[in-house]
Amino acid sequence: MDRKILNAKTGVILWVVIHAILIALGISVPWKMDSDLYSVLPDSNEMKNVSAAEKVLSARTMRNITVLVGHENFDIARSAAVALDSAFAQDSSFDEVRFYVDEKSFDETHDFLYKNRYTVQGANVREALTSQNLETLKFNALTKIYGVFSYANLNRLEEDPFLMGEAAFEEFMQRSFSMSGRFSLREGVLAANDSNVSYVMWSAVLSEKIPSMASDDHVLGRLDRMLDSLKKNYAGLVIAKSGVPFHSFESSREAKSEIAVISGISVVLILLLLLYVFRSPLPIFATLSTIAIAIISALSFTWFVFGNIHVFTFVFGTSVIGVSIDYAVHFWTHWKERRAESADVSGSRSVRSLIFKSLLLGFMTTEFSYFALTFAGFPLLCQMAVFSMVGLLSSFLSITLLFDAFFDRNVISKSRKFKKNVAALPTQVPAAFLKLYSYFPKKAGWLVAILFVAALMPGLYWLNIHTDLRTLYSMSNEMKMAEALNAKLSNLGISENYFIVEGESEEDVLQSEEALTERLVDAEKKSLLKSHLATSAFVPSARTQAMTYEGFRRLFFASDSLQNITDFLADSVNSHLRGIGVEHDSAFVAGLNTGANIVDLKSIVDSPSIPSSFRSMLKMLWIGAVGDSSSRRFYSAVFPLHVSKKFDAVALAKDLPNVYAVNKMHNINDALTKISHVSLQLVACAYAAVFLILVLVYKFKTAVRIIRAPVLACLFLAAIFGYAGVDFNFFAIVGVILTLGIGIDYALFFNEGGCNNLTTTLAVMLSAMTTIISFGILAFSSFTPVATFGFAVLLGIFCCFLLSPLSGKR
Amino acid sequence: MLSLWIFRRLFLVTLVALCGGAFADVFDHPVTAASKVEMSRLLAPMKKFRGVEGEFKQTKSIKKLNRDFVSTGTFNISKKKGVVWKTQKPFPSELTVTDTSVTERSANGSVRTIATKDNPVFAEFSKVIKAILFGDISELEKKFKVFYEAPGEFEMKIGLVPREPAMRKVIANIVMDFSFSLDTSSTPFVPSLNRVLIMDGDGNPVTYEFLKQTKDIERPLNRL
Repeated sequence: MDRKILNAKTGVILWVVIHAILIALGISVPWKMDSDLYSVLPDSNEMKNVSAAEKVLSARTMRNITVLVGHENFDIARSAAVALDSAFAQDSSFDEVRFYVDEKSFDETHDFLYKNRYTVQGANVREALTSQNLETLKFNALTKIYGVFSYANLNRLEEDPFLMGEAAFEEFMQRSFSMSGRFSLREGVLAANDSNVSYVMWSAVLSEKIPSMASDDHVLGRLDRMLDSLKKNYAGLVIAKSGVPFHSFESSREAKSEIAVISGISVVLILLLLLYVFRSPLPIFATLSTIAIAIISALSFTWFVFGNIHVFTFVFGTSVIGVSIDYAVHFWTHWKERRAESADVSGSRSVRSLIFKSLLLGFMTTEFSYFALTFAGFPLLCQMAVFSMVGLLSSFLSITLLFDAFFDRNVISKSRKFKKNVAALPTQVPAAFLKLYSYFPKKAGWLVAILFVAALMPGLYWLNIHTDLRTLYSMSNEMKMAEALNAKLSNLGISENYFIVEGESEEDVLQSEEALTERLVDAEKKSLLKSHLATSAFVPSARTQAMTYEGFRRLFFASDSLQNITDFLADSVNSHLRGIGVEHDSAFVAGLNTGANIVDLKSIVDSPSIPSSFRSMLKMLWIGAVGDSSSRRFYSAVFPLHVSKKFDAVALAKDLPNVYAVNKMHNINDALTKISHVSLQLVACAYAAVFLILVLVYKFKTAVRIIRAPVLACLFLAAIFGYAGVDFNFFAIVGVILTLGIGIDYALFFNEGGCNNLTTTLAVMLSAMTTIISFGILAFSSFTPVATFGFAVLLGIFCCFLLSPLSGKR
Repeated sequence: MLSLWIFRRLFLVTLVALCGGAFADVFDHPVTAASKVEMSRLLAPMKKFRGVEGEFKQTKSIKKLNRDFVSTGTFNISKKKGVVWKTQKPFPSELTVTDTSVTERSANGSVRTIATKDNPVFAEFSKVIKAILFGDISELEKKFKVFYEAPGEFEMKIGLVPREPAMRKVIANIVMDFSFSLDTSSTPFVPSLNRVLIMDGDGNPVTYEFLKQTKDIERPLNRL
């Protein structure tokens, strides 16, 4: 970029316009920081709509929180929980707060099931109807009537002599039973005991509008303060918090302090380094300003593109400091060298023109690598790539346009005037560094490279490219214990495997569910699981309800010779009625003749008229409509409970249309592993393109020499993971990609500046040091993914830095 | 609500197994410190029982229908093995409650078993059984408001009202009627649970009468 093409004024205007656009775009959208651990994960199902349905389900369950308030004395635990509930019951940050058990729910459910007794029945009754087994229904009723401690409601015996309302209620209770775990009703609240401590359950659903990012006035922050105050007021109080929002909140709180620490240490160390090298505040001030502008621009644009920015991107984004500083360092080392030169510089080339070629090639190759990552199909990676691309672009523009305008011209015009005030660059270290390479035989380069690769081979052979999210998130001991306690007490038994059922309509979904639940019931008989939860178990499909009604009529009414159902009760039914003293059958017959009372899921799913117990079940299981008007379909979730190791969800769902077995964790891990491979392939393609450009610019041999250092560095870092037996996960692969993107700059600078150029060596050393500092500190992050990423880049950049002098012409 | 349902059934098992007598006026006499001591003293011999067996008669009176449903059978309560209720007439059925499960065998022979593992309701049920069997009033007081009356020298009534409002909708109250008889052993007065009246939330009484009781019998449940 020559001044003839772009003068200083135009350059500054261009810089201002580009940055104004980037920042204005960011300001134009509402800012939202996301710290949800799961929100940036890749789609875990290849089918778009099923994946969307999964997300709806996850979004719903991931807003649930539970707080167990425990004490050796139940009354104290309850009092503390009451205080907690009083403080938050009306809080608008929660969509729903659950504490006191609704006494009406029992009667509501009982009445609802009695009213719909001829349509809403469980599998056992339906089976008896299918086999026309009146005896089963009769003996079940007699057991309820005459058996001990049966508290079936006998008030309606005239209307319901077979106690079908009670049978439906019993079935419902059995389903509910599997969900209550060790909690039971005690003084109007749910309580459980463990290790002589009584725990009272308080739970809530966080409002969708509440951000997961920690802040002082965040509802979970207020909740924490309330719980701390309760602990102070009630000695011996035990609190166990459970739910994804707590983890996200905790993570974001830690991330915030980590960002402050990581950025702070990075900046201080880099400042000290720059101060040592430049001995002047100007380069430091200018460099820091460049970084600040780069981060603001990157932040704004990323915000604009994605609508929010994930806290992980922000943490990774601190690495932009290390990348963007490289360009500034190259500018300032050459600037300083020029200022210190005693020779007349008039008429000589500007600093920008000296470094522009290597800077542009370095910028392009890094951007190429980042750009390739945007195609990986992983939102987090895409966000990080966009953030880094924009940050890097901003830095590049600042140095080539602004620095040139404000500082480079000063060099030429004032170098003589200030010459005596300029201290020489500290070149002792680069000189010593280069001296080491002077001992290295020129022709042994390739031999060493081959030996180096050979040494890496076993490590590469042992390399396991695999991502397991479970190994990447480590919660605090307190959270771990709280989650374990909650799981133990709730004992729900929901496994990683579940099913998503799809349909054109609500009825379609319910019918598909029923096909699935038939198989689940068979599996239950084989002890592959204990039970299951499905919407159709509470509200059967209209088809099943109609068949149930017809089944009752066929069973209870007599048939004539043509097998047509008559209006008269069958003899065996009359016999039962007489046996239990029901003298008038009119109420019973009238109930059977009122027509099928079909319960329509569509009309009850959000209706306040259905029992709250049903509503809470449906909220958990029914996903509803997903997709736009053209692709809108309906979904539900079916959860197998307490599955054995032999339970195979995929085999169970096989050949069942519209039923999808889901193992979210497994699918996400698979997706991440797949994305890792795709990312590597994309970057390999990007690198092939970069190589072609280098061949065009430098010719083949030089291009190979330039590309050798970053490629070998990546093989080195991969081999270290292989030797260490650590999974080469997605985040380590991001480290590889960055090493390739950043590391090639060093080789390019050496190639351009020559391998014996002290200024170039110093610039590369400074670049490498600043990068190593900024990424190396990430290796100490408490977030395993960030630490893995930082460690990978640290290894890669360090190796690349050591190899890059071999890229220059010797 | 689930817990309520299970608890309702099981608690009734417990209480009916061991209690008798229904006298509404017992609820005029909330237990006091002094009466609690007396009640505990009178129930103390029960702590020595290893088991009780006998016959029972259950009468469910449904006011709305103006009809009684009567059934009879045998019961066996073993401190170690659990509780077995065998309804023999008019239709056979069986209910077995052990520390680990509750099994119901219906009139047509179908069996349904619910494991008590990890279930607090059954754990509570077990506690209540023991509380009554051993005359542990303190344990009963956790779940019920306790009332006590001794109308005669050889009579005692204990009234129980569930503390849980939701539970009161199902079981309004329970009255246990004890009598005392001289024993040949060193214990002078042996309490005997003759009758239990359970009033449900709709005001329908269920009465259990215990006949031909034999105490301190340790017999395997499967022999009943």
